Amino acid sequence: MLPPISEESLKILAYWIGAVCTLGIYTILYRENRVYRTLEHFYIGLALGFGLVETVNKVLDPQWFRPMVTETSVTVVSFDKSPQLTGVALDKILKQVGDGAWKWTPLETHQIQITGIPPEWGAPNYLKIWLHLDKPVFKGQIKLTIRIHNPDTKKEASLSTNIPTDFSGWREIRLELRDFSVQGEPYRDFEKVGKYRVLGDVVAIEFQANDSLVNSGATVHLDELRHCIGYRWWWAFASVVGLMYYTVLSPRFGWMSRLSLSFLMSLSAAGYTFKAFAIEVPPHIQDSFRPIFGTDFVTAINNAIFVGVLLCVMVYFFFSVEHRHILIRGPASLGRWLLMLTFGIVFGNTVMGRFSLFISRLDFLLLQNPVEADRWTKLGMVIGLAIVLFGAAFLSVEYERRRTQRVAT
Amino acid sequence: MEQIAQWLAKFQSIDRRIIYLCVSIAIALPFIVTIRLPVIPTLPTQKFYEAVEKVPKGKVVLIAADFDTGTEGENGPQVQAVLEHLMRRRIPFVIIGLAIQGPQLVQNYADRLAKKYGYRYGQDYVNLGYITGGQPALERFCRSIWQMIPKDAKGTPLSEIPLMRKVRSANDIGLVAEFTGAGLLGYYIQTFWGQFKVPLAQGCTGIIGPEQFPYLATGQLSGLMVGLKGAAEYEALLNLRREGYRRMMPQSMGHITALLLIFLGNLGMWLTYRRRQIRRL
Repeated sequence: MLPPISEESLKILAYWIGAVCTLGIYTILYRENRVYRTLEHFYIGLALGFGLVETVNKVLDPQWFRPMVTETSVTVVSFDKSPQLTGVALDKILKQVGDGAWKWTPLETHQIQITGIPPEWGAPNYLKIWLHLDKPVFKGQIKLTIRIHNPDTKKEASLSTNIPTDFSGWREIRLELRDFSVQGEPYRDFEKVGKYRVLGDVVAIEFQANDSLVNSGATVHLDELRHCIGYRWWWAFASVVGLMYYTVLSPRFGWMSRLSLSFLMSLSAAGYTFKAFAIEVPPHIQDSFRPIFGTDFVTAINNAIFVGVLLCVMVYFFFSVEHRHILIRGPASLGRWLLMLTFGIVFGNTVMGRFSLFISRLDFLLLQNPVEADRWTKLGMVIGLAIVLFGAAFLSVEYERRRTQRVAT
Repeated sequence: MEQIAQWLAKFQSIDRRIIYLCVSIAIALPFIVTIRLPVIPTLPTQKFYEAVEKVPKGKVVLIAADFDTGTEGENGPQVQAVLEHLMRRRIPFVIIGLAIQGPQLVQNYADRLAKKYGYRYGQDYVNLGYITGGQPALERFCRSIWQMIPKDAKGTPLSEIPLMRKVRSANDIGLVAEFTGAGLLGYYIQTFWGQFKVPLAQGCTGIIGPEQFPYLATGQLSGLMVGLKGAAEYEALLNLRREGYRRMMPQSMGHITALLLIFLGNLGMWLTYRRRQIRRL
């Protein structure tokens, strides 16, 4: 068994591992060496491992595999606690799921309402409930009603359906939400785009027995009401398309990877490329028409420079006419210079970005050291570590050089 | 004079390792010796600040953490400054990310700041984690968050998270603040801004900064924070002196050293060129 480590010691350990990795990676500035290569592999392995675990645990498993092989259900009422309602009792013997079920005698109370349930249901497709009848009632029905408060309309709405009671014993009833009759407007405005319909702000569930069931004197047991999205077995085809990518590794079946690639590319081109152009580009074109006259002096100058630069650069990229005439050659040449200026700005920003990354590592090395010491001692520690690592890098380079020499001779 | 010219000529063929050492010392110096320079906020950063100020009550801010540890040096201080601003204004926020490490990094910052401002996970902020699928996934997210991501990054169903009860689609989002080192802005413009009219603000790395300015001019971006400098400017607007500000002086020292070396190298080249011309004559 490993000895216990205090949080403080763990912080110090994490810091020094970080410091060794950071300075070890920076030994590349001296020359390609074994210290750098070892730590580079360590980093790549770490990033790949993290990426793989995240992809499996947070994407493939919850977003693809589980929805495919499970109903993706959430329990609305478990019927495991005492109901505190007249005519309803907790039965811990005759139950289907969990600790108990509700024994309901419609003769005593023909309607029960359950509140305090989870209000947000997501986008279920059907409900499932376990029902038990001690005898079949052929004309009997239980009306199940979902009561909703719509915050957009600020009105109550409901969804209801009838459950037949022509059976005895336990039965799991599946109730398709599309078959429910709707009173009022249960869905919020923005959720009615396409098939995305989310049931939110559910305030109560009601069970109501009809006269036949009430008069029959039958006893009903209720257990485990769930809302479910359902099995999405057709998602398995996604894996076929995905796995076809890997055929690129086989010269014989490589053509299959092109099929899936073309399929996804065509989907992207048809569905998104035009949309991207239509949404992104027109505002840029619109913004390039800027007034030079009829505005204040400073804006006019700014706009004139903007339009001038835009035209010069566009002339530079206009290759249908040879750049010989002075009216073409001049602006095109200026356009080229302006482009170079822009590239210079981009490069300057790149340098700034690289410096920032180095600064963040120095910040870590010099200011985030958890060891209790003055700043000069901490600096000495970091410099000492840097000397050791750069020394190791130097020795590894020397070792490789001598070995190459030995092999050559 | 001739000796100085000879000495300067050496700057053309200076060993790159000496340049690295000079730049490293220049950058490390402000960490050891206190040197201060003022940070003056520029207009794009001010606009970002104002965009956060304008978030309507009752709406949340979506923090899109589209970066990883590779650009954390720039995006990290940016996110922290914005989170601090949100917490000061008591604006709830939701974290997502199109990069695999981003949401976890932002949650670490949020957890640290939450102690200071009394923010509680689930009540005031939520991490919905990594989203795969790019633009189509974001489009679905805009239409129904609950449908797209039924559970948060910890696996808690959204129905059990109080904050998510009022966050159901893009209509419940007052601002999208994207932090990235990659060109993912288009995805957000095509979905949040284009289809749902949600304001967008971006914190980007210095490298992609120049590409983002046209979006600011067209109004597709409500604010822009570029690189570490942007973070320092945002901190200045908040009267804060944290990582962004602390790292600006080393940044300036690095730039001064680079400029000095470029100048000396060019001067050496010019003097060598002149000497050759004089010898020819």
